[in-house]
Amino acid sequence: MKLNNTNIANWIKNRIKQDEIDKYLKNGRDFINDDLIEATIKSNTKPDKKMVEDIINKSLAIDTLSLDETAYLLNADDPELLTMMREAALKVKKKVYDNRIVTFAPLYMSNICVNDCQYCGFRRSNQEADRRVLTQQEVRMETEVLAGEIGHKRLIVVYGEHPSTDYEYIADTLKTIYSVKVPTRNGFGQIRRANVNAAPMSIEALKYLRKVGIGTYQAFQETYHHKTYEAVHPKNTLKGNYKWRLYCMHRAMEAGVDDVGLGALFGLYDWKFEVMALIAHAHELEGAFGIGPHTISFPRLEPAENTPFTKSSKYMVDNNDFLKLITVIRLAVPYTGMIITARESREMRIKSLKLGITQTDASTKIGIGAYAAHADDQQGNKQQFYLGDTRSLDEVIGEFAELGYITSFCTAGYRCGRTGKCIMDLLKTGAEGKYCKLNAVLTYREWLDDFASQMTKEAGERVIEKEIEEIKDTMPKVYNQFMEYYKRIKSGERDIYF
Amino acid sequence: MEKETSISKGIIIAFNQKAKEIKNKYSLNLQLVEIFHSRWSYVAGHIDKNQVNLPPVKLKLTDKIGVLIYNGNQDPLVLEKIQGKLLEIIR
Repeated sequence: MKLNNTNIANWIKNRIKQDEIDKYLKNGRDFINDDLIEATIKSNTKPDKKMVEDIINKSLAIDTLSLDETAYLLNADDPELLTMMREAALKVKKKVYDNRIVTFAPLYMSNICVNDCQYCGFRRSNQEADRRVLTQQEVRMETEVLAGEIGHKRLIVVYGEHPSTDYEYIADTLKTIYSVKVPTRNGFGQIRRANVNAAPMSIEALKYLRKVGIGTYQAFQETYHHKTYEAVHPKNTLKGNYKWRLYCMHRAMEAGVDDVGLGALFGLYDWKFEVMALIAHAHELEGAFGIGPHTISFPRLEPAENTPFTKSSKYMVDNNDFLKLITVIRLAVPYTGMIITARESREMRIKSLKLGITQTDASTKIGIGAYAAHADDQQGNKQQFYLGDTRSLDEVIGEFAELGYITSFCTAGYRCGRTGKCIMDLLKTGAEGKYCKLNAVLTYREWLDDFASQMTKEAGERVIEKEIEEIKDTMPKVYNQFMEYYKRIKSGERDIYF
Repeated sequence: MEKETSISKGIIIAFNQKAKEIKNKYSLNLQLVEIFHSRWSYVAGHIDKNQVNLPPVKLKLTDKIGVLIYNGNQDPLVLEKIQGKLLEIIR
């Protein structure tokens, strides 16, 4: 169907299902109480050492912190307390996920959007943007580069909100991505988990995506602060509906997509407020479904082409506060995955790893069609924003190896029932971290043999040797089975996992 | 609030009963999953959450319903018996 303005207007008109908002409200109100959050931040200041120790112990027991406890940590400024918090954040991460870092790549499918968000390079009023939607053939070509040349196994696939990229298009692109299989040096490359970042949808649409094997469903609230939300998202746009967006994860859960990713765009409003609201969102999901967020993201506002707002916000978060907010989120929602992206500089990404980050991207290109085009430069008119770190996956993995981290391409959990409530329980008991370690080594072996440069391979071999020794010592019951799998992978077999 | 699943409550109840029987007889843990392409999405059942388990045997009862069998007993005869018992729940 050719889209004209009438078609688009009708599509917009029917997009929001009011009953799929109202059913979740309590006394007509949503669960973000701005006044309460502000008051909680103001009233929980100057924590002493004993209080912080008690809060940290709760985090180490993998219990979600209350809003009061979170506020105390946000307001802690004594250097000794901050050091305690940072050390505890890393301990929490190691307990839940071991020392592995999962890598992925973003894949942008389109930059056509009906919304007009002030901070976004894709906003409809930006006349400088070069608009396009990838065809299925182009999706295939992008995936061939990502899976066959770079070696990614996991993607976050990103879509603008527009009828040309509605849920049926999203489903088709997921099918295309999963169908690509590319020969490599010693095996084959394939995307095994495609996560989706797309605008809020109805329960029916989310069910449709579930059927084609969606990984995590990610949609960020951008800002949880009602007035700021209203100011940066024009009221006459779809995104102008705060509650439709806020409850999209409820709808995802109801639709059976039980891995959901929360996030806020830091720089739109006060960072402490946004952290508190993210924790409130986690509480809400835990209470309603028994399942918290699979991941939390915390992108910072970055410059975008022809988008002056990105340079003028009074709430820009400086590096120290950014590292603190990562620390606090790590402690407040101990089980959740935490994502830092190539928006950030190499230095900030390395610093954040030591605070409990679990996932990051590499070889990142966010221009539409940029992977197949092997575009070296950032192209402002095709990107949502500018990146801070454009290093290759090989370079990033090599550096992680030198720092003692193992890069994981594991996508096992969602393919063998470790989803939703089940994975939440495993994360909380620390059992998932053991699976993480085993599958990290197996998938690292695959990547080193199929894609690594000589230098990265040498650094990687040292990491693997140490990891295998640890597995032998700490998991004797599964060691033999693990080594059998490891040898099979060395011989060229692919995609075997715990 | 409950998440949507196309697996009926009757099947889930029947599965839980069978899983209990099989646990008592063979010391195996079972999980019921709903299959969506490569995603095997948890619906019911238990695994030992305090230790890492050997990889499960993945059993497809239908195109949409699967069972994961944990604890590493890979004896083909036992698995065949278990499969027979599990198939009863979808009849």
